[in-house]
Amino acid sequence: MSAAREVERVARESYARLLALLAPRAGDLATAEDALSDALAAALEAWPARGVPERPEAWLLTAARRRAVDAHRRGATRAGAAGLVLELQRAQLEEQASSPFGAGLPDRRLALLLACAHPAVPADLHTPLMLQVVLGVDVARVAGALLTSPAALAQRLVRAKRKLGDLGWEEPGPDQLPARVGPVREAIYGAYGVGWEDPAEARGLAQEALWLAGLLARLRPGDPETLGLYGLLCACEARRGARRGPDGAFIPLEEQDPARWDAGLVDEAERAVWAAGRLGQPGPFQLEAAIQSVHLHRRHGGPTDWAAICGLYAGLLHLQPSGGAAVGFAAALGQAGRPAEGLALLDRLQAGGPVPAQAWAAVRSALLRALGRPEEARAEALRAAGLCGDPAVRAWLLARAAGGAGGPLSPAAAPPATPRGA
Amino acid sequence: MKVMMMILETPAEFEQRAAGPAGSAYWAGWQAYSAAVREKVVGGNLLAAADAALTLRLRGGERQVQDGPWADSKESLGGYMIFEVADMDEALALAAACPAAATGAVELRPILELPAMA
Repeated sequence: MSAAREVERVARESYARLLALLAPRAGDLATAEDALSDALAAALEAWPARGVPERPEAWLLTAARRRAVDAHRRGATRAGAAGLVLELQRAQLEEQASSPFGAGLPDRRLALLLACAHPAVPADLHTPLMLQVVLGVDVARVAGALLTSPAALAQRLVRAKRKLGDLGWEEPGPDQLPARVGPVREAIYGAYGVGWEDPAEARGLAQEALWLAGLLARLRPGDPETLGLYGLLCACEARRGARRGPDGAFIPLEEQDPARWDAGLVDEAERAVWAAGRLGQPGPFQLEAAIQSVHLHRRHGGPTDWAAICGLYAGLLHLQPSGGAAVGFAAALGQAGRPAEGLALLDRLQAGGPVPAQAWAAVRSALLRALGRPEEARAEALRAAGLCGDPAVRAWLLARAAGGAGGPLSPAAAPPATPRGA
Repeated sequence: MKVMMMILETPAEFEQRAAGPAGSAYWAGWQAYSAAVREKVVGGNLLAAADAALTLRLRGGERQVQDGPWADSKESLGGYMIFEVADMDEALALAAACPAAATGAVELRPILELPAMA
């Protein structure tokens, strides 16, 4: 492995941990981030020339701490800066004296995740904050994925980080943990949702969200909804490669070749769903994961059990009603030979609540087609195509609008991981 | 607020446009898009390709007329739409489904409301 790739690997695997170690002592997150990015830049220069150090993470931590101290020396205007410099120097000495990254090192990544979903931070900032702080994703990229102005988002993130800094990046007590983990899961789910649509980007936000979900599942192994989230994202991610043909054309879920699904991720999804189920506390993420798991059973041959999927959607809507889940339920009803019920459900939805408009139109088109109303089906497919920003999916919908052949439209045309409202 | 979406298209798209509507994926995409955003659109037009443009400058009393657009770039202005939206994020969401976003670019600008002249 080249030195540059090693820097990238360490940054990817240890960014959050390094930041978590730096942030409390650096006093504010911006200083910690700057120090860490300087350290990474230094590593990119030093490692190719002098070789990768024996303990790359410790090297980076030491370099970043030195830079954080320098930063405070340079800008020692704020109150208590001198004390902070001493604190940082003391920490550095401790680090040198003891063995860094030994077994006893406290894992502060969970605290950092929890801090990003702090109730004092507006809920719509949880996801971008987590992507930026925990994974170091560039603000411009986050803004692009969320379809908002990078400058405006950066400004809001700075304010949120300042607020968290004022709160001292406080760590919730064990009794507060369950209430705080929920928003963390939602933010990870949101990050996966924004990364879902881009199939071309090999290392999109979706992979990063999956990584965070895996981390949270390792940190909270006895939490069924966290396992459910992890299983759900594994199941969705397993199909990424199969969603496009060799010519880049869109392939809906039920036409995908199960041999092209990532077998490792499918196994991981099923393990997570099974482990969650054993805990005996069903929840929305577990039900969504179970729906995906039924789809994945097709890899053992045999048709999809749409009746089972309908039952799971009914349970999901009972536990946590959402526009996305209702559209998925309507599509499943159509597949299960109950298109009239599906259409009635969609038409009720139109009146209230936020509904994913493109998926709504696409599923409605399929249901109208199943009910022998081809003209209306074509108009609805055209509407879905017009709302679609993905050229491959748009081409597929336009082919349907033109009356082209093809299997029935499934919920796969809509992302299964559409972020739920609020 | 009113927002103008400038639609910047590539030469390949101008060629597809010139080939005419029959059975073309280009026209089908635009037809679907404009139908889908219709309720938010308060104006707009298609423009002829940039080779039909004339650019005029007055310099020191001298008129300079140039064949072609004011700026030479790979993409050129192929049309525009005016949206009536609550904010720029809503305009971005509408623009994200625009066919030209995936091939060329779209630029969004708030339209300034000038006070009426006395």
